[in-house]
Amino acid sequence: MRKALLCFFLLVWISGCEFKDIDKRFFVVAMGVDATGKKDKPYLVTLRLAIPASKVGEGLAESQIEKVESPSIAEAIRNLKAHVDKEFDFGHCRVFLFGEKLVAESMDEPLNWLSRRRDVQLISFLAVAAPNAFHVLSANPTTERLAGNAFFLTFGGEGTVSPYTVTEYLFDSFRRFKEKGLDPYLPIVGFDGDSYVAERLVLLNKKKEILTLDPEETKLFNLSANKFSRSGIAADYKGRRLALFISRLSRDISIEKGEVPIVHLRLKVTGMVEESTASLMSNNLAKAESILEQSVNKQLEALLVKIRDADVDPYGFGLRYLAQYFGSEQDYEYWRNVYPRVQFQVDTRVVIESTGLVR
Amino acid sequence: MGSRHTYYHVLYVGMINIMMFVPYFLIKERFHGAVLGMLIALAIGTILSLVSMACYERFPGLGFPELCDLYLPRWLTVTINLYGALLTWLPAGAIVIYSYSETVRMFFYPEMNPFVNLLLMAGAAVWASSRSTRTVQFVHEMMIIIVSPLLIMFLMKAIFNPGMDWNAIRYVSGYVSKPPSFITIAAGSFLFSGFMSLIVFNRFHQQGFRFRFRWIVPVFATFFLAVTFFVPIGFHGTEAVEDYVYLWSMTADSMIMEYGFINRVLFVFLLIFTGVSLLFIMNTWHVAILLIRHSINRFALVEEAPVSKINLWIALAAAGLSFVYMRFINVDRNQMISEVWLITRFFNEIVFLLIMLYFVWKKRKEGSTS
Repeated sequence: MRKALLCFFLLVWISGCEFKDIDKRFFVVAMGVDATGKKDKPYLVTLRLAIPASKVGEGLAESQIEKVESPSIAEAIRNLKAHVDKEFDFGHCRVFLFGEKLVAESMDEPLNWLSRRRDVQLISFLAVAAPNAFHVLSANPTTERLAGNAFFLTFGGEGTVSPYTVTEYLFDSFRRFKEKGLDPYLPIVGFDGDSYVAERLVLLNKKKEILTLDPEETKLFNLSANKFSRSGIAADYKGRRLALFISRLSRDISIEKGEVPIVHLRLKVTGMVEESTASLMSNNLAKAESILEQSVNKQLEALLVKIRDADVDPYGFGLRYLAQYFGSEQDYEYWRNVYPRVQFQVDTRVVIESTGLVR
Repeated sequence: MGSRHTYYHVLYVGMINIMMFVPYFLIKERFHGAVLGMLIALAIGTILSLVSMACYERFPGLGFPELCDLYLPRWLTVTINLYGALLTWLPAGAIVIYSYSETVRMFFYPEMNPFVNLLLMAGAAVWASSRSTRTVQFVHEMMIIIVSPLLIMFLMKAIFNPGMDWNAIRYVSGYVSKPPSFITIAAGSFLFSGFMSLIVFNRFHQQGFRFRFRWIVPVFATFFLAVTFFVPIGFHGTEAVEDYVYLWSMTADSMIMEYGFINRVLFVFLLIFTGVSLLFIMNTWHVAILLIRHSINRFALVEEAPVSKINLWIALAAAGLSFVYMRFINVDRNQMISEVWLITRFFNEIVFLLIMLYFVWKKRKEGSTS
C-alpha cells in the first residue's frame, strides 16, 4: 500500500512542469510600443532583453534590442520569438514605454494587451517615451550596472528621488482610465546622451494625450496632487531668489457647492531655506513666508485653470466631489457640465522652520 | 479546548471568503445595494453566531449529531447530518480547492496541467482531513501561528498603502441608501460562518465551558468584510474594479515591497492563501467525514489512534469528487455554483440554529419536569 502510494506520487513529477532553465530564457526588462503610422502595421514593438553576464559593473550592463512592426502587440511578441534563440520571460519586465505618437493617437490597444497578460505586474512603471520608445530603449545609460536597472532607479524612488519625476504604476493607470472624475497621466522619459531624463508630464483623457506640462508645472503638480514632499518652492524676495526646501507637506481638498462649485485646495508647507542671498531675521521671516505663499497660490491656480481648460481632471476633483456629497449618477452629470467653469481657490500656508545653518 | 480554537475557525473562514467569490458578488452589486446588504449581513451574522454559540454552550462535549440523536428520531438525524455533510461541507471544500488551485496555477506555473496541480492540493487535503479531530484542531493553531505574521503584514500593507484612493471608497459607501440585494446579504454573512464548525468541534468543550471574549466574532467578521469589499475598490477605483477575474490577486499585485527580497506582494498573498485554503478544505472535509461516520455507526470520538481507514476512504472520495468537479467546471460556472452554495448555506445556518434552539428548549423542559 505504502509503496504503491509512493510510486504514485513520484509519477506525478514525471509529467513535469514545462520549466525552462534560466540559461534558456531571455528576461525582458523593458518594453516599448510605438505607432508607425502605417495602415496595415500600426505598432512597432521594441523589447529590451537582458543578457545574463558574469561581470557586474558600471556601463557593463548588456542588453539586446529586438523590434518588429505588427498589426497588434500580441502578434508582434509572437513574431519576435522567431528573432531570438531563447524563450521570453516577462516576469521581470517592469517598464512599459509608449511613443509620443502613439499616446497622441490612442492608448486603447496597449492597455488592453497589458490587462490581459497574466505575467505583467500591476506594479510596473508606465511612461511616455520621447521622441519614441525605440530610441529610449536602445540608449545605453553609462552608469547602468544591470540591464534595465536605470529605469527602476529613476521611477521606483530607490535611487534618485526627484520632485520632477512622477511615478505612474500600471494598476493606477487602469484605475484612472476608467474612473469617473479622475483622469490618467504619464511621465515623459527621454535620453540625454548618458542618462534618462524624466521631468515632464502628459495629461490624458480616457483615450489619448491632451496636455503636456513643462518641468516647473510637473513639479507643482506632483507637489499638489501626489503630496510629494522633498520638493522645493521658490519666489523672488527683495529682488533676489529665495528657495525653500520642503520637509513636510499636507494637503486638503474640499469642494463648495454653489452656482458654480469652488474647489478649495489648502496646502501646508513646512520647510527650511536652502538659498537666499537676502538675510532672513525673525522680523522679516513672516514677510518671506507670505511672499512664498502668494507665489505658490498664483502658480497653482494658473496650473489648475490650465488643466481645467484642457478638460482633464488628473487631480480627481470630480471623484472628490462625488465622495464629499455622496453623489449619484446625476451629480456626476452635473459635475461634467459645470467642470469647465469651476473656480479654484488655493490657500497655501508656508512655515519656515529653519533658515539653514546661517540667518 | 479554549475559546480561541473557535475563533480560529472564524478567522480563516473570514479570510477564505476571497476564494468563495464573496468579493466578486459584493463588488458586482456595489452600486446596487451592496453596502446596505453588508450592514444587514453583519446584523444577521452577529445574531446567528452569538446565539448559536450560546446554544452550544449548554451542551458541552456534545456535537450536533449526538444532540440530534438525543432529541430526534434516527431517520431524521441521518437525513440532517448527511445533508450537511454532502451538500454543505463537502462542496465548500470542492469550490475552494478548485478556485485556489486555479489561482495559483494562473500566477505560479501557468503551463502546468491543472489536474496535476489539483492532485498536489488534494493530496495534502486528504492527508490532513482524514486525521482525528484532535489532530485537526492542533493543525489549526499551528497554521494560524505560521500565517499570521505574513497576514498582519499583508493587511497593514493594504490598508495603509499610498495607492489606496479613499475618495473612491467614500463614494461607494455613499450608495448605502440603495435597497439591499439578497446575494450580498447571503455572501456577507458567510464571513461569520466559522462558528458552524462547532457542529463537530463542540465535542472538545468540557463541562462548565463558557466562551470568553465572544465579541471577537463580530469584530473579526466586520473587519474582514470591510477589507474584502473596500480595499479592492481603493486600489482599482469604482469602475475598473469589476474588470478583474482574480480580483484579490490583482489587488495584492498592486502593492510593492521595495526592500523585500521579492517585490511583488502577490507571492506573499498566495503563500498566505496556500495555508488558509488548505486549512479550510481540511476542516470542511473533516466535518463531512465525521458527519458521515456518525450517520453510519454513531462515531463521536475526538481522539482515535490509529485513525480508522474509513476516514481515508471518505477523504479520497471527496478528492475524487473535486477532480470530477474540475473536469466539468470552469471559472464562470464555479462562480455560479458558489453563488448557489452561499445562498443555501445562508438558509442552512438559520435552520441549524432553529434546530439548536429546539434542543435547548427540550433540555430546559426536561430539566423542569425531572
